[in-house]
Amino acid sequence: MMASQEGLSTQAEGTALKIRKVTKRYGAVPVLNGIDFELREGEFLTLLGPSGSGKTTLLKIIAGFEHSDAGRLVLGGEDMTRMPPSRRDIGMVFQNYALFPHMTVEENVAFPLRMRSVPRREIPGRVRQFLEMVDLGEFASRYPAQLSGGQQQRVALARATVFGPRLLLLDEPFGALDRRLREAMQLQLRELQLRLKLSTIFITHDQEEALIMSDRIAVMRDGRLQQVAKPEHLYRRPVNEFVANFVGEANILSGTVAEDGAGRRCLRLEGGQMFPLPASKGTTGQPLSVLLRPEHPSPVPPGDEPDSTITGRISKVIYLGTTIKYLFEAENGLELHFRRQASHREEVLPVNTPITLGWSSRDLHLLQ
Amino acid sequence: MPNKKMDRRGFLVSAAAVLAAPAVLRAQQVPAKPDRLIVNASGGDMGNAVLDAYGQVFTERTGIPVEMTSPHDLGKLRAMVESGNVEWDVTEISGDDGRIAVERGLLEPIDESIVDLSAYPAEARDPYLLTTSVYSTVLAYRSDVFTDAKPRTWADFWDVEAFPGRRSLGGGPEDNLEFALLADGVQLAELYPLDVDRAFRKLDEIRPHITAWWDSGAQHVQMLVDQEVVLSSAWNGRIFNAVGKGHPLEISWDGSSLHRAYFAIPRGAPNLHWSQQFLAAMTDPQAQATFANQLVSPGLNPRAAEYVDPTLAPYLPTTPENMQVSFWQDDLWWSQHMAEIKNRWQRWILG
Amino acid sequence: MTSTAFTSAAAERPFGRMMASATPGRSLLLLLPAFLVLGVILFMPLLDLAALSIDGGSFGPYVKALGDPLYVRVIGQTFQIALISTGICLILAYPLAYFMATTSPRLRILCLLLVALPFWTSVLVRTYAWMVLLGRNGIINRLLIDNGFIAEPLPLIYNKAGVILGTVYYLLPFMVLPIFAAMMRVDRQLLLAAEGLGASAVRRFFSIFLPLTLGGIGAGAALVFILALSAFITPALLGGGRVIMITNLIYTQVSQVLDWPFAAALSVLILVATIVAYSCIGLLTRRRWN
Ligand SMILES: Nc1ncnc2c1ncn2[C@@H]1O[C@H](COP(=O)(O)OP(=O)(O)OP(=O)(O)O)[C@@H](O)[C@H]1O
Ligand SMILES: [Mg+2]
Repeated sequence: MMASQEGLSTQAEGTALKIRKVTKRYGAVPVLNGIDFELREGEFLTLLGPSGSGKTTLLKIIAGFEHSDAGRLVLGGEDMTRMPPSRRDIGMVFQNYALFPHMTVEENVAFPLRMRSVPRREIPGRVRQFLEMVDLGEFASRYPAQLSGGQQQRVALARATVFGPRLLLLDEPFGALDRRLREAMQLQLRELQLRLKLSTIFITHDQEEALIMSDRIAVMRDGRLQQVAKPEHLYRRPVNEFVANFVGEANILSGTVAEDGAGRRCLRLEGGQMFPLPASKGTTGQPLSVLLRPEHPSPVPPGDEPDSTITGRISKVIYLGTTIKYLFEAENGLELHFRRQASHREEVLPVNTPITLGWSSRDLHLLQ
Repeated sequence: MPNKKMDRRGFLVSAAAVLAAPAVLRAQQVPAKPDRLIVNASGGDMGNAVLDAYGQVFTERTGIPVEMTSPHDLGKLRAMVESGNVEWDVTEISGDDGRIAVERGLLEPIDESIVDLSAYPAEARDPYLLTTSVYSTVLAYRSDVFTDAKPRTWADFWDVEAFPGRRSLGGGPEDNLEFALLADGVQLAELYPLDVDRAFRKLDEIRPHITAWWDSGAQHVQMLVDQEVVLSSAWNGRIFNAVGKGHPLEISWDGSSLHRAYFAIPRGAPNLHWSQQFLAAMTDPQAQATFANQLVSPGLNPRAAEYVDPTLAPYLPTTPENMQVSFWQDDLWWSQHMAEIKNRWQRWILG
Repeated sequence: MTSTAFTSAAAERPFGRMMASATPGRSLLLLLPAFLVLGVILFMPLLDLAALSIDGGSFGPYVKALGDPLYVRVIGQTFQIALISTGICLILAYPLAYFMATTSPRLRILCLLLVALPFWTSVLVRTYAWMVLLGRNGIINRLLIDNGFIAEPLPLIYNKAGVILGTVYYLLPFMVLPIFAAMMRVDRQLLLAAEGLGASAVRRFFSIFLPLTLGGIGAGAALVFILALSAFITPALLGGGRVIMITNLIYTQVSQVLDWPFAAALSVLILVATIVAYSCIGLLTRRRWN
């Protein structure tokens, strides 16, 4: 499958990192398969994919802790495929933080500066500046064991950025934090990244996190890149069912293009049910999958004529606070789900309410 | 020192017990038999020979099995006696250790109504210590190294030009002071009291030629056998055994130091009557001969000579020709001077 | 910075409170059984020993021990030998432990067995084996002479070097095992992190690996040092009677001279010296960070 690359970041100027056809196997098992994409200067790119899809492996290859079997890495115009990690100038934040337990917060942050022979006089100032940036000014002389998880995370962040790395890599840095802390850290990281104009690769398997933070998202599956795109692009126009399902909620309908008794174009699903298609889409007999995000179908108000409609009843209601999720069962047995904003102007529809759902052709997205 | 006072008191108590003991024993029937008798001695060959020779006789006589433990240790004996927790029914307590034990009141007196010492020479009879055997520290050398002129006296041992080669001596002042004085021309009969200063001066001469100051019987044999040294002071029994195994070693009896191996009963031993019976078994001439045949270390019962293998005579320290050129180490003198000489020796060793 | 980060930091649970939740009273109670057992089997005899050393109501034995150059020298020599042995053990054990910690599991088990081998034989047997190996006509000297490396046998035993060698061999496992354990506990990711942050192999070792294994070094050094101080058979046999250690003196006093107050005083002195040494090692290798 070809990975599609679209929607380049707006603030991007040059290319920070080129990854060219990187392949890696452990024994006979291929873990990365021709990974090929570019990271722009100052871009925040998220690697998103299910567990075991090869995200960490790719990050390790970029950091230099693993070697690829084939392919090249070009960092700022310099081929670094075989360069030792200590000379790559890449800041990395590990999932478990990897703080040096025998060093104070201050010493941890000073470590990369000392390794780079930054003049002794300059170190304390730099360290202080970065610790204040991550809001840890008064924790400078504590040991990591005396910090909370979130504080440790911020020390790791300061340590990975204090020396002005050419690239910042983060492997699920917020995995161990609770939701509130996680949200705060997401904001803080993004802010730091923008301020320092750091080219960043961030790993997560939380799609929401990916959508919030990224300039672009690269979706991986089984060692292959599926799609690299801006969040809204990825959401609206996923290239395949996997991406569609992985990013956001989806109604995905697969079948063959057909005509119903009235001569309208339809998708004949595997169960035989018919799903209305706009006349412009597909040719008869063609196998096809379409995506309809649950926020698009809505109950048709009287007098309205949307592009497509389908009648049935509400089979289940899930109240989620700001939104209400409905499960809909059509007369022909087809199932869809749709969402409504919770509003005091609109009653929650009870189960078994007969209803006609309608949507615009624009909202229907064809998948390969 | 208050300690000494206490010991003297202990001594008086046991002295009183001596006087009372025969009467008490006569008044009683033979006490109950313990399930075993624990006899403590040097380990190794010595322990085995004690068990073979005396243990057997004792068990035959009384039906009580004997269990051997080792090593013998004056400090441990004192600890046992003073804590009232005596584990040994009988223990070896040789040389000056025996004398110190007597002086400190750590021993039960020997009950001569059970242990018949009438045949023993007067100088071998002691109220507390039973002399069970005699061994000797002799001059030993490699017979394959000294083929023509053989070292004979301690003066020869000291003569590193006539008898070149690496040497070894025991790792304490005992014997060594005597050997040094003999080497310096002192007569056998005039050794005691030792002229300690003169002995150390003479030892200064030999010190550079000593490879190691041996720590145990096993070690000096090992060093001679490995040719680590070619001359050494040594225990006659050990060399006898090594020669039996084919090692080219010889000894000279000239100026050898005779030692008494003592056995005694710790004060407060739990089965006193049977302990006395064990000592009685140790005076048995046939048992003494068995022991002597194993270790070339004869007992002092004159009748034992009848049973000792006559071919062993040249190897026994008590054979008249050997005895004539030997001296008895003076336990009493040593026990009185031990602390001070030991300290001086250790300081001297460190140089 | 936004205010979000500030509030979230404040919302985190302060470290001090987490620690305070385990009340000191309760945790002390957990120590009670150990205290009782140690009190009876360790401290009572020690008190006894101390009491014995001033049995005469005076500090005479101490004055004697510290006033006599013999004892001062022997204590000095004992510490010197223990210190050198500990140093050599450390130099040998550290690379060995490192090899064990980084090699394959199979080789690791084999190494562990080999390291523990000395535990399976008695001190006496081992010491005699050394005599056979290191003597003038021993295997090593014969190999060297036969191959023309030396003309005269080297004095490998019956001196201080022999004692140190025997002690090192005997005590090496006590150094290897704690260091090995400490190395196994080092998180490999920390070394990767250091490498990524620009540390060369040498600096990774000195800045990260060594400090993180310092606890193991401390434990090993303390064990070896204390055991070397109390070595008894090895110096007597391999030292050729020339190397006197404090335990040899104590033995003389306990078992040959029967001056127990003096022996007790020597023991108390060596005990105090040991505690001081132990504290020093502890201070040098203390983990301040948790
Ligand atoms: N050292 C290794 N030896 C063999 N296989 C490995 C090794 N490291 C990773 N793998 C395999 O490679 C695949 C990708 O692993 P990787 O750690 O890159 O996944 P990931 O996308 O980071 O997953 P997660 O989200 O769970 O962290 C997995 O199937 C994993 O089992
Ligand atoms: Mg991972």
